[in-house]
Amino acid sequence: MSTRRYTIDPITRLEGHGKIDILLNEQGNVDRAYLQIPELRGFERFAQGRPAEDMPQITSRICGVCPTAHHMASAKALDDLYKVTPPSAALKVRELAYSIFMIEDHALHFYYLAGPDFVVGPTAPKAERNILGVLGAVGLEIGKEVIGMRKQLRDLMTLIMGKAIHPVFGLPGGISKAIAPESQKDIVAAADHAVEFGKFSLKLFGDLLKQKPELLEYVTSESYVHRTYYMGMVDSQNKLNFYDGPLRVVDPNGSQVALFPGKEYLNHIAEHVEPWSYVRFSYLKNIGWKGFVDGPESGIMAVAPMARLNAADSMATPIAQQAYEQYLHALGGKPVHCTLATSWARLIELVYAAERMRELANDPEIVSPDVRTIPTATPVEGIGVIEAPRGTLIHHYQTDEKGLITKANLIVATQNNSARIVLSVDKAAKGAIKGGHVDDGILNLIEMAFRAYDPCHGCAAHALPGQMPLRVCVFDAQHNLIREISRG
Amino acid sequence: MRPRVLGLGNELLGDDAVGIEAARRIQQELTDQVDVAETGVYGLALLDVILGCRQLIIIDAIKTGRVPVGSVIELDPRCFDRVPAPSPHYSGLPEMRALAETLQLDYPEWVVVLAVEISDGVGFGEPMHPAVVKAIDQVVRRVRQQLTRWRRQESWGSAAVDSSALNETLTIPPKTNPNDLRRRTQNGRV
Repeated sequence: MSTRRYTIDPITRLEGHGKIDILLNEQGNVDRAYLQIPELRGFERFAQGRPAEDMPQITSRICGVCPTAHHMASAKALDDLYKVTPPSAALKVRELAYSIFMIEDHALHFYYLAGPDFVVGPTAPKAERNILGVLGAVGLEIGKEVIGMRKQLRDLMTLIMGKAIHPVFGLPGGISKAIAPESQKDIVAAADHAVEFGKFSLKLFGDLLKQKPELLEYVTSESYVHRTYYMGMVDSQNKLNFYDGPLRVVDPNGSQVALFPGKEYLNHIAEHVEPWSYVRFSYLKNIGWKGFVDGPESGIMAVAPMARLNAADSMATPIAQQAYEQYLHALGGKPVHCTLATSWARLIELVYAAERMRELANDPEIVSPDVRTIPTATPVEGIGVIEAPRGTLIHHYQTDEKGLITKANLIVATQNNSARIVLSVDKAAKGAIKGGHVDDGILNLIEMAFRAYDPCHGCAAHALPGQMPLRVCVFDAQHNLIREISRG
Repeated sequence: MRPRVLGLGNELLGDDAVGIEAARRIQQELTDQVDVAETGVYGLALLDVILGCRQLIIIDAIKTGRVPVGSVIELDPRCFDRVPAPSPHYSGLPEMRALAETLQLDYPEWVVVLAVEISDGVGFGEPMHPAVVKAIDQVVRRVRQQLTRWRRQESWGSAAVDSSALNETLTIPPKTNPNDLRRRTQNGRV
């Protein structure tokens, strides 16, 4: 093969992909810095006129990372649209499938995102701060275990949902097929394996903290702290739940300020628009928008693992509860404001998902053939809410009497986190730029600030580039571009 | 073991669907010669559709901005950066290859990427650009060529084949600095 050299701009449907703008003041210090987060360009118009029952298939294609989350939120919105309650068995199988998805996603992201910081170390050379460096440090057997666990879970999702990636599974009033009784033993075996995997990952992380006490200082560093509100789904006892339950909001002191059914989200969540960004910044309506500041006066909130653990009182399963108590003890109690604790929280959620999977796998009802209630109501409006791996996800549809979509609104997790992500990027930039001096190292500092959120930037798989594109543009007080640093 | 053709992209997003559409055409026209897969997901899920074959042709969308829309570019994935995706959101073929090598997974011996230069039309429900639609014919032709090449390799032995001589190549003019790629790969083997 002859040598050819290319610079690849990743193809993307979004504008401002991986783009950070930094505005300086007259003194050359940072006035404001922010990360562009994608919009779902044209989605609402695309959805109009389509049958509502197609939405679980359509929306599962929005995201190349968490299709199952969109599928489930959409199926729940259809239940609400057709005013139909699925049979108990269908709800359990949906939650079982969702738990499997969460285990897989959280395991992958834990090793990818936390691994470089906690296993390889925050000060290690950048070339080693990736999944291969993690495998080099923990051993290849662990890598093979992650791959093997993932395959077992994927096979199970195919068994339960028909297809693992773009499932034809959730229907208004239930699911498309029951689990065959002879499959239950395989599901139980996989669940046992998943719990062991979760325990192993917890131990790995615990051992790391013992070996490297400086990691705790890194997690709790003030540079990555924002005292905001937190939102997450809970069950009737305020224990964390991914699939169903009201949304609970706690303030920066950890006190509950709201507990509401997801379908009332419009009473609690509002969207702020800034002229310099097309992102709609979610905030708490009853607290109000006070700008990009933290504290109890500001309605900025966070979602995703750390926020969910703050919003819940406890975990619903024993091993996860024990890990949760250790986490809170180490980090000084609730609420945890350290953004970098998100990876630790993700691990606790992984264990919860595995334990919940095991509970459901052993439930005799999951092989019941009664998995569908046929809807009869005339559709008008439906709202479905679920906890996606990266936070609360809301699907909201309105239809005509034939069930054709007239309006579709999706609030994705990254949008709910977007204002806090701006706080993080802003804080990192302010720490790194003084008197107009900007160097290339700012890329790493800023990336660390938003990486814990794992913000969703784009939703289409591609063979390349295998690296996150990142472009930082620095503007002077007159908004002239004075420096551009890019990668990818 | 039959060669595999993998279409990548998002079928809802205009030109981004080209890999998926091309794979579906190949499924119709070459079903007796290849296995066909398609996906729109990232990260380790790519392994599900990459591992377990010896010869793999990936069809994907690309945007270099330096060749006309609808151009078909052949890429050797070994030329690209090996790793440092900080998130599964950005892990593509180079990273999966590195991971597969490290963990000794069953990664294909031969991988070719056929990339179609696309337009800006990647919004939801946008139609594909006519030149991109037309490019699918060329992709199918290139897949046939590649299959022929592999068959010859197998009958002659790999050392006897000069792949560039059989190939319709398209060189992309450098954007600004021809060393861009080399600089980007400093953290990994090219």
